Amino acid sequence: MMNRTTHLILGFSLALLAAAPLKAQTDSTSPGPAGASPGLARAGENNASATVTTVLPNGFNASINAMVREVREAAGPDRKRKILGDFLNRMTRSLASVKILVSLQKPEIASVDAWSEKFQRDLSELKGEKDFTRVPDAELDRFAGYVQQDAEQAEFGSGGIYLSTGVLLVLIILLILFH
Amino acid sequence: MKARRQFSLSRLAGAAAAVLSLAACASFPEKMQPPGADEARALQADTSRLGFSLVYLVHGDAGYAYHDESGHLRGADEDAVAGATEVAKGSTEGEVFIFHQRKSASYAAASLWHHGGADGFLTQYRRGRLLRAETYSRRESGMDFGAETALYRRYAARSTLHFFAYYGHEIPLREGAGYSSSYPDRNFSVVELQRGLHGFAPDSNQAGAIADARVPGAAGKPFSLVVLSTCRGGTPETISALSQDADFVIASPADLHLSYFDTRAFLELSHGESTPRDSLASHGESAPRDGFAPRNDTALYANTNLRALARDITRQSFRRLKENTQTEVTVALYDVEALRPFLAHPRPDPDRNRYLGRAERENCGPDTGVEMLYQPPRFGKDKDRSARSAWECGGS
Repeated sequence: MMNRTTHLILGFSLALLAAAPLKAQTDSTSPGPAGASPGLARAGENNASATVTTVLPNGFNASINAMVREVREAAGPDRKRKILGDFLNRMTRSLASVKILVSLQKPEIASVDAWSEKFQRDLSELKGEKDFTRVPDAELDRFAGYVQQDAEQAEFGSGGIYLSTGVLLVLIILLILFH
Repeated sequence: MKARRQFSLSRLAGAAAAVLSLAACASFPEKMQPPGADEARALQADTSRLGFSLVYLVHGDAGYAYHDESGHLRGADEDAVAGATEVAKGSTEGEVFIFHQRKSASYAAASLWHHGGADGFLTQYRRGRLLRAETYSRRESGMDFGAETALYRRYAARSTLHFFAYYGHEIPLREGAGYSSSYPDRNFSVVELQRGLHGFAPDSNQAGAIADARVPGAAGKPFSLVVLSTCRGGTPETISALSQDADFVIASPADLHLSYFDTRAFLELSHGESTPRDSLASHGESAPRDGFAPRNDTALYANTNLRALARDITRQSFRRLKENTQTEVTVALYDVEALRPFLAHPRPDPDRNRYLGRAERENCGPDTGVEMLYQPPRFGKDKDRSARSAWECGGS
């Protein structure tokens, strides 16, 4: 179920991107402020930009939501912990690969690192490593919600920590490949 | 093979649904029934001074999707507009403007849906009745709310008290290109926010009908209260900028969940204190010391009562966020007059802040003059933290 749902969500994003005259910018020069992703901020005023800024973050958020739902529906803490662990591992691997595959400017590298560190911290807490108290079995549903809310507050492409459209695009492809 | 076919079919169906949903997003908003001609005439003919004017400015021209506790996809801007509308409908003693900045539709979509490229939507309620619902365009105006302030100055009646509430993403301290998806080359920062606020001020030079609306006995600022429902609004730079026009500011010094602040306590201005205070009491929180006066009371506009109103909004926002949020919750009420010595002090270059340690970043303002409500995150390194400063100096 997880496979199909996540693929479905991420596939929608890519399908829509394929349909839109995307001008993905992987060479943005600064992370930019809150709002649209900085790559698009330099792509000029066009409506495809607005579409892309919506589709990519929404696709990413939806993939996290699919994970949260699966955790909540899973029977037993071992299964819940595994779903969470797999998701966080996949995220950190994908972000690490983005740095290799995409030519990034310094601010974007910092953003990718910040996201990666965030997910690594969550993974450590899930497992009870690196001075974290292990998330109790009874709290795993809430922990999944915490991962989601933390990601949506510092939304991809807007608010908090910023990733360009190009990075988001590659990240979504990698999330599919690593699944 | 079967699984692959299922995946392809489901992807196709999903893509179609998503395209349709995007088309729906591109359409222009909710059809609202304007008042009948007689009612509109009566509302417009009523030139008596209103108790208050409340302006909501909701930014929706960026990514504002989030999932609620039930996993349902929500639009933070749409939710903010719904909350503002609830306040507007109950505000029988005043006037409420709700400006919703939306993504600009393509030319084709604009033609298809007959809204001529409009990317803003205004609803105006007077004495709780819908007076006006119309689209507008931000294309020709700057990011300092030029389109909105022009409409406000054209339509606003005289009011005694003035309030302003902004909902959106974190507002950068400077530059800020790319804040709006539709206008990625335009800057929006605290500078534009401050300029925009001036435009809504009752003593701005074009104000005509609202020019004499200063509040006697208040601290002399155009706005009694500014609500800044964004991430990291509690920086000394931001509060200092807003302090020039506001007696009180409510903001969050840290991340703010997209379920945002709850401003239903503004209904106290029309209905007395019952709704919010009952609500607070039922959640075990102490009621404010200064009870808000019922309507028509001559003490309605006294400064102490404004403080009570501000406190109620702060506490109610905190309560709602606390219920729905696993991450850190910070809501702070800044008393501008009490903070004047600190705010008057020149601010160091914000670039310097990036080299500060966490403790220095957070403890960069006074504890007096601020009321801070804090709930630590349920998980993470800070889960056992008991308190936090009301300031954040890590802004960009």
